[in-house]
Amino acid sequence: MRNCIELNNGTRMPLMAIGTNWMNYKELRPIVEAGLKAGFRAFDTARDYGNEDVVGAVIKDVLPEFGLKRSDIFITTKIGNYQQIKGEIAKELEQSLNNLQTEYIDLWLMHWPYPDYYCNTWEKMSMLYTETDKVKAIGVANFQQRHLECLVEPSDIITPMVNQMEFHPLRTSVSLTDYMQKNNIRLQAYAPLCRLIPPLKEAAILKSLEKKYSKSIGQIILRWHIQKGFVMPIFKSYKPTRFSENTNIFDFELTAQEMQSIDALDIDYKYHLESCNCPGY
Amino acid sequence: MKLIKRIIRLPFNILNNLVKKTNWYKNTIPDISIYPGDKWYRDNLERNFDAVNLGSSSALYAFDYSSTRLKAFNWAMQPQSMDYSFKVLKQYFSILKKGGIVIIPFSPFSALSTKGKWPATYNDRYYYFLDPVLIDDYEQVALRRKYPLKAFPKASIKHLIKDAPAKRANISTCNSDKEFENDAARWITMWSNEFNITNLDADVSNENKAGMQERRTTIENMLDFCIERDLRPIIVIPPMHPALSRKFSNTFCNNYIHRFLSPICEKRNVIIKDYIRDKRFTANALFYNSFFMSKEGAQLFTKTLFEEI
Repeated sequence: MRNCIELNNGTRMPLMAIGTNWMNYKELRPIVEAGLKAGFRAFDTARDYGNEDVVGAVIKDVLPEFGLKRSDIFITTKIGNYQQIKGEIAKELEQSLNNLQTEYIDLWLMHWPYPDYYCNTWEKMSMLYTETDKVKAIGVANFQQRHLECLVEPSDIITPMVNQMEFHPLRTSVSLTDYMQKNNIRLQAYAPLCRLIPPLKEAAILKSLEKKYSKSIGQIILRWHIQKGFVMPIFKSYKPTRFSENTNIFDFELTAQEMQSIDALDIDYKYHLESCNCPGY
Repeated sequence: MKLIKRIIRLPFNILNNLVKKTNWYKNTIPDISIYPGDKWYRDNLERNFDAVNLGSSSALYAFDYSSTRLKAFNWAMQPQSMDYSFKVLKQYFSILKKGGIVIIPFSPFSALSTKGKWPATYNDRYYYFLDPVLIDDYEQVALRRKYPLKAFPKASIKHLIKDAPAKRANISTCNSDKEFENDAARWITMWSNEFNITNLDADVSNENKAGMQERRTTIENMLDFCIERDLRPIIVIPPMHPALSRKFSNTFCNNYIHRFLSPICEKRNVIIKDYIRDKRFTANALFYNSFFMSKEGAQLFTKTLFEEI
């Protein structure tokens, strides 16, 4: 797959990643194989998905088949709320490295701005980023502007390189993404297709673009993500064929007017309700 | 060794599972379909709700959104402390739209703390829909729900032999003015005993002032929590039957409600809607008893409230 986005520390991150959440070895292996074949090089997991070890095992087994090395791929994982409460962040990093059978993590995220803990967790993550070679970049997930401000405004603190959040045409979070761009924080989008729920699948603008470009609605939406220039979608599917389809989005370009029309679908729709995963969010 | 342990535990596990099938055990399990948790939001595509209400017994019966076009949840519980109302809000507020309304119901004694006054087992209900970190003494709660036979051996055996009736709404109903008067007197006696008050018109006791301070902090935190998240909190004092509202003089209302709420709300521009003596809600048909509104009353009140805020 083409292209990377440069993070604020110079790390180059692939434009699209494969989501691995909750998958077991049997499910994940064909997905990773199909993804690599289609050109995907980035994989996203988290401690709270309970499958870091599965991701580690699948990658270890599959990379040689494609003649690839660890340095050819990009692994993201996240530190969960429970680990934040426990507070032993360095130990948690070691645990993730062991689970993933790797010597470093390309992007290490804090999964949630867990109230009362996230500022302290960030300090510890920053220290590990600065003082070791075990993480190449650090960031956050599901942060609102008020959370980011706590990390961005003190001048002696490292600004997160990425905020992974739910982002799709029904939820464009303009003021948050403006703030992130202003502070050079890249956006990694989960649920980029918002499960193609009816308001998306039936949107007149998407249907007309589907016809105009002879692409699926999913491809149109992924193109919209990529064309924004600061968004990196994470794509998850149990169907291996989807991966080649989703990389086939670089042979057309949406017009500025079409981009705006898709933006206008925004209704601040959150498929995932944040406070359920992070009480007090 | 593991196998031996399992064999030894087998009779316990069989009995424990039988206890879990009794009404006595199941009566603690709340209706979790009204909380938009992981399963709910995967099964339901509705988002950006207009409003939710929190609260305890009277709020449970005062709010009924079926006569409105609002997307709303009634998260009141019988009974529910202000602290747990806040915890429910913390866990589920993301279902609300920006500017969504959070109704914080307030009743005559809501300014007083109930801390330590209710059995710890009241918190067992939250096992089913709150994150463990939000539940006080979670380990004990989990023990009671996972192993009722171990936590309550006598009661478990007793209810295996003779089960309790299945849960139903816990309301007394009044059918005449006299019954409303008697019911109102019963409520007053109950609250007076609970909060150790001998004269409703006297100044607030030092003991209750301490409780008020604690409650003030909770309410301030709730309001600030809402405001910080672009939600609109509103304090609402639902109607009560005239037989009960007559028991609360202006002196009482000032001492226990308005002097408590006004400074908190004014500072934050939060409105207070007081319906205690609202003349539109006096008919017997609008109430089950002197404190709880009937379905008809709740529909009328909810519709009226949302036209006025």
